[in-house]
Amino acid sequence: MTGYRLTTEQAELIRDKQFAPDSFFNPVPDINGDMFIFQIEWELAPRPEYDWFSTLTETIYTAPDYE
Amino acid sequence: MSRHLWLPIFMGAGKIAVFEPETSAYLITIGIPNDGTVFYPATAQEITGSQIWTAVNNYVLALKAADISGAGWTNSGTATCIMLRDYLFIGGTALRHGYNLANPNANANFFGSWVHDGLGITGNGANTYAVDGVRNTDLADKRELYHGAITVANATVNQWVYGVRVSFGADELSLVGLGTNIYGVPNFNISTGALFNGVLVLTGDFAQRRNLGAGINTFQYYNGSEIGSLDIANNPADLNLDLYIGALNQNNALINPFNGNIRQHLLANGATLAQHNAWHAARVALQTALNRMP
Repeated sequence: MTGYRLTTEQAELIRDKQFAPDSFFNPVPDINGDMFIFQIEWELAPRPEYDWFSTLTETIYTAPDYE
Repeated sequence: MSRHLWLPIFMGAGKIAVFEPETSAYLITIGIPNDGTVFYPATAQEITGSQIWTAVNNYVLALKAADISGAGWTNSGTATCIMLRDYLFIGGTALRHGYNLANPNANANFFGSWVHDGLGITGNGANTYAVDGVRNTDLADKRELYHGAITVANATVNQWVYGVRVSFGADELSLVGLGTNIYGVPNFNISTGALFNGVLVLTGDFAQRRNLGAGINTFQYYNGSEIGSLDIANNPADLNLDLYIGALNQNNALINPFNGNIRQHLLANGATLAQHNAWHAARVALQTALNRMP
């Protein structure tokens, strides 16, 4: 699957913030520790507050190994 | 005389439906009108507001007939099974899906990129989970929990619909986990090997029921039928953690998020086998009426 890679600072800036009714950002690390959000968050984030999302690049996301 | 005249006119104008107060409370809260408003148009789930009201009301009546109630329900004084949550995921938006029938005052918050539509909620297997204020320590007696979920998924790795644990291999409360095994058993200690050897079936109605008492005390069901039972010792551990809907909460970290569709999710205390059977039948009838029984 693909997601949108964030810097650590960007991830902490939006973490747990509301982007739609009853919906909150949840950046998570991939297998390499890079932070990601995904399609619905990217689409529904209100503009112009999140205009900077347009600078994010859609990238392959590989989940960490869960036990 | 007037009564004889009035009655046929009254009936001819259509039977006036009387809805249970719990039906009205839930559907008014989530803003579903009891009229011809069409929801999910041009999809297989297309349905009117009136049809939703009837479907939910029939479900409420079936629960009451089985002595199952929610918080403050009209039958809560006599019911033997008390629901903590029952998410019907009706309405197609996060706002509507956050409310539940058992307790409309409780509200779930959705984290990550959930898809909300006429089929309920769909996780992405990466960053999706929801919390609604139910913490492991809030459960009155985990030894009597009943949990059910109707899901549609295609998984090759372990995923959890609902669960909490401190760490891998430690005490955990993993209610319905899907994947290479169907995990279960409220409040079990994984180190005892108390784990169902499940089957890789991820679509349907899953439930598990645990009762107090010695001997076989924990039962797991798929589409209403028992698929396993075990005698599992109670675990005194009381994890002070949120229960995650759609994932496993491992010491406040998201683990094994679900990447399938959840059409209903419920949690209760004290369900008997008869109540499980009645509830399963009611769930199937509800989801069928909503045009989405998998």
